[in-house]
Amino acid sequence: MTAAIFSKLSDDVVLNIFSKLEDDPRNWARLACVCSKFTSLIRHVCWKSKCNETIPSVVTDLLPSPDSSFPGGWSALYKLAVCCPGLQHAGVLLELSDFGLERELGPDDYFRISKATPSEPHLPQQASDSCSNLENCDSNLENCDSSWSLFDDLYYDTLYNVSESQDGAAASCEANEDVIGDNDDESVDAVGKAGYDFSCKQEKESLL
Amino acid sequence: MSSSAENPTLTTEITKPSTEIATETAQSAKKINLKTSDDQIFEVEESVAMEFATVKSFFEDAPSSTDTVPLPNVPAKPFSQVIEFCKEQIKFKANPDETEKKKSNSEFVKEKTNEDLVEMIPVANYLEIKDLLDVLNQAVADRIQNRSVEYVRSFFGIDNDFTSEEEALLREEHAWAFEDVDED
Repeated sequence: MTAAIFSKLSDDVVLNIFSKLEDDPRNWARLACVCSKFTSLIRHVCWKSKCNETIPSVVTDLLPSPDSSFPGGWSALYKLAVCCPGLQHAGVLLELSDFGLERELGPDDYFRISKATPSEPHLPQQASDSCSNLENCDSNLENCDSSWSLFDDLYYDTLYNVSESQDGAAASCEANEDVIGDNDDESVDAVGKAGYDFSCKQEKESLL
Repeated sequence: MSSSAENPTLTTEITKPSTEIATETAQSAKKINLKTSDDQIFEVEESVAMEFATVKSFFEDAPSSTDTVPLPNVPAKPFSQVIEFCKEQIKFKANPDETEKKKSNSEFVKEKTNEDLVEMIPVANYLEIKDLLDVLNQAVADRIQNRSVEYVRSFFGIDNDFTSEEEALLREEHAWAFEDVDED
């Protein structure tokens, strides 16, 4: 009796019920296993609308025209969206980035953090969130001041060495100064930048 | 003689507490006959019947009609529960109180069995009672969330139309969704 009633029910109503279950991605995935009607509704309607809603930039990148499809279908894309939350911000990073010219993302802050806390997996966060990047940086710098660190020693050693032989690098430092801008001590910063690769290598060696 | 004159005023005072609906519908206390698919006739106040968009448009199309309105897709059992809900709703129309309304709605669905809910959904859908449909859909969603595939099937009375290979494949594809499922 109920079976007959429910199978006659319009898709709109079923979809309405599904839409109330979208908070937990597992609900839809399980419902898709109930019967073929549910499978097609979820595959072709629910996941499609959810993808369009949460990761529109990825969808438009993958689908040049609205009618085309891609391997794996919406199911695959939805799974990807659930498993890779970073996709929600896809496209944002490129807008902020100036394609390697190292301005917007604050390369020096980034270097200092990775140096002060080389074991912490900070990197993905920093790329996506430059505000927390700066905060992290501040707290890390405080840590550096309050406690002795091998890396600090290596870093300032390197800095010192490089600035001694700064004559040779002067031209490139000046070129960098324009770009770096808002630091108090521009020359130190520029040198720090120049010496980074070197100090980084030393860190790695000392870690090994 | 004097006592018989007093009696009518007494009775009106007694019926008064049944809220403003009485006064509101007083001008149009017209009753409408609705015939369900299993040939039962429900006599419903017009104000309640107007909650059913389908019935309402029936009267808009034929305003002078006094006939019994046939509801071919509506069985009596869920329909009586739908009427019960709409009577409650009308109280809140006169006196909107969202928290009270929510409370009453959730109590309404709480005491219903799964079968009741599933039977009422097509009725609410056919009669286009948006509020009720929304309440029912939410209630059903709450009851099937985090449940196993088998539970959902029996909840809706759905037959498994997959072959065992197809189902195994689907379940494999969605294996990640089967962790931490509630007990049936």
